[in-house]
Formats: sequence, structure tokens, C-alpha cells
Amino acid sequence: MDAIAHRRTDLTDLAGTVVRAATGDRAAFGRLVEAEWDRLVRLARTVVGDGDAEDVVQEGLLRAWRALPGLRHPESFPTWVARVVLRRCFRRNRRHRPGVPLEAAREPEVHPGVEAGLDVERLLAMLAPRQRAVLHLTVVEGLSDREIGTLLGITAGSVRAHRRRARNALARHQGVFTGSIPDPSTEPAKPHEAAP
Amino acid sequence: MSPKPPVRHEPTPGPSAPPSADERAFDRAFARWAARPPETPASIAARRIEHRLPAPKRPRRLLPIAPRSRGGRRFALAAAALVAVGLALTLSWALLRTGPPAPFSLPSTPPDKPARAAEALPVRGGSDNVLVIDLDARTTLYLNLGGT
Repeated sequence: MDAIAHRRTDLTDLAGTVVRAATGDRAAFGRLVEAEWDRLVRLARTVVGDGDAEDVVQEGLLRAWRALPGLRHPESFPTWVARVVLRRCFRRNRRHRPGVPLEAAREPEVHPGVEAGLDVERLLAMLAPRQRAVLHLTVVEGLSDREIGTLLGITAGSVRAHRRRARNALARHQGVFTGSIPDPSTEPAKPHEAAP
Repeated sequence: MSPKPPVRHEPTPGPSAPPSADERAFDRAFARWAARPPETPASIAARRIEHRLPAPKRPRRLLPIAPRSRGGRRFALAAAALVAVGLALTLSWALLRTGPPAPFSLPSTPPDKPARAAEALPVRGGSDNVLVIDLDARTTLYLNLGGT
């Protein structure tokens, strides 16, 4: 957990700043927010989408401010606050269910989610929130399975299972978005499958 | 009614295999997509959140949380309750051993006689008006009852 903390923050005196924030120092908490904001917004964007990410992170940070006096190991603040924000993301997903139906995703359109011919945003929308989080922490943050498990409160084996399911789902849908796999709904029906 | 299909437990995956070419392509696209900067810069977000922070309700404890001392109010209450229970148990044990207190009864000797013979005045004699009492071997008290 310490490894995550040292990798994630630019603050020189992380533990001291956390302790000061825990005693009610707003400026110290502001410095923590400034150090973690970009990383948390990127993580939340993957899980809840662009529209809600900043709101969810703000909610998570306000909750973290209230719960900060209960944090026993100040050096683990980056992991802890990411866990708080992820919980808010999962809760938001349960309420809003922002999944994109595949039929809508098939319509070709150009928007910021398209990278190198892959519609990343729509591909991510096909995955469960926890799978999106595992994929983000693996690909974008480069955390190990054990570190991801610590953050999500699951075992390293479960992390690998989530990632494998996510990869399988992406492999099923990736061709549809890039056009390399023919869309079965638009394929002409074979003679022996035709309706009598 | 069809029999319930057996539950299939997915084996815990071992170490992940190296990503395929498609997976690597997705990872690169995903990393570029995720690297976009947030709409609100960190400094502005920090100031905004600082202003939204609610005031602490009570003085916050320093970390790590110190172990609770033995001198607290709760400890005193618990100790007093323990002592009271102990006293009550001792008292009931003593009462059980000595038996219940004797019921109220009239004295066996009539009230006009001294209750104990040793305390009775040694009246030697006298007349209607004078009472002669030997207080000890050398002292005799002549008590005039007439009052004149």
C-alpha cells in the first residue's frame, strides 16, 4: 500500500499534510485535493462517464473530509481516497445505470471517445463498472493485481477474473466498432436459416 | 419440473497471459482516451472543494487514535456499579448465614420489675416516708419520699 502512496502523490510530506487535514486544516486538505484531482477524475471518468465524473469525485472528496479522522495510516491516503471515490462511482452506477445499448452503439458517429479507430467510450459502456475500474487501474495506472485488490477490497484472483471477463467482452464487441467483424444483425440470412 | 443445473464454479484464474495484439491496441487507445485532462483544473477544483467543506463538528483527534485511558467517566461508572453489586452480594450472603431478624416480642419480665436482678437497687428497708438503700458496703442512702 505504501508503494501505491509513494507512486501516486506529488506531495513531499504526504503523511504530515494528511494529519493536518484530519485535524480540520482546510488548506492542507486543499493541497491533497490538488495532488489527487486529476487521477481521481480520470478513474471516475472510466467508471461513470465524462458527464458525472467530476461531480462524483467532489462528493467522494467531501465524504473523505468527514471520514479523514478515522484514517489510521496517513501514508495510505491516495489508495483510501480512490476507494472512497470508487464506492461513490459504483453507487452512482447502481442508481443511474448508464449502460449504452448495443443497438445505439452500432450507429457510426464521430465523438471524443474515438481513439485510433476504436470507440473506447462505447466499448467501456459494454462492461460492468467493476470491470471498467479493474481495466483502468491495470492499463492506465499500471497497478499490480494485489494493489488493485487492496483498492477494490477483493482478492488478486478476483481482479484477474474481472479483467479476463472484460477482455472477453471487449473482444466480442471490438470488431463491431472497428468494422473488422461483420455485425450479425445486418448479415444476410443464410438459405437454411431463412424463414419458411 | 426440470432438475436444477449444477452450479459451475469458475476456477480462479492464474497469472494473466500476455495481452494479444487486439488487446494491446485497445490498451493504447484506452490510455490515450483516459489521459485527457479534466475539464476543471486541479487548482480550481481544490479551491472550490475547500469552500464546500463543512466545519468540523467537534475537535478532531490526532492520529493515530490513542488507546482509551482508564480514568474516563465510563470507567468510573462501571467500577461503581461493580462495587455496588459486590456489596449487595456480600450483604445477602451474610443475611442468609445469620438468618432472618427475630420477630418483635414482649419482654419476659413485667415492666414494674427491674429487667436484670443485678441492676436492682439493694433496698434494705424503711418506712412510709423514708427508703433505706445500701449503695455499697460503706454507703447507705436514706431517701425521703415525703418531700418535706
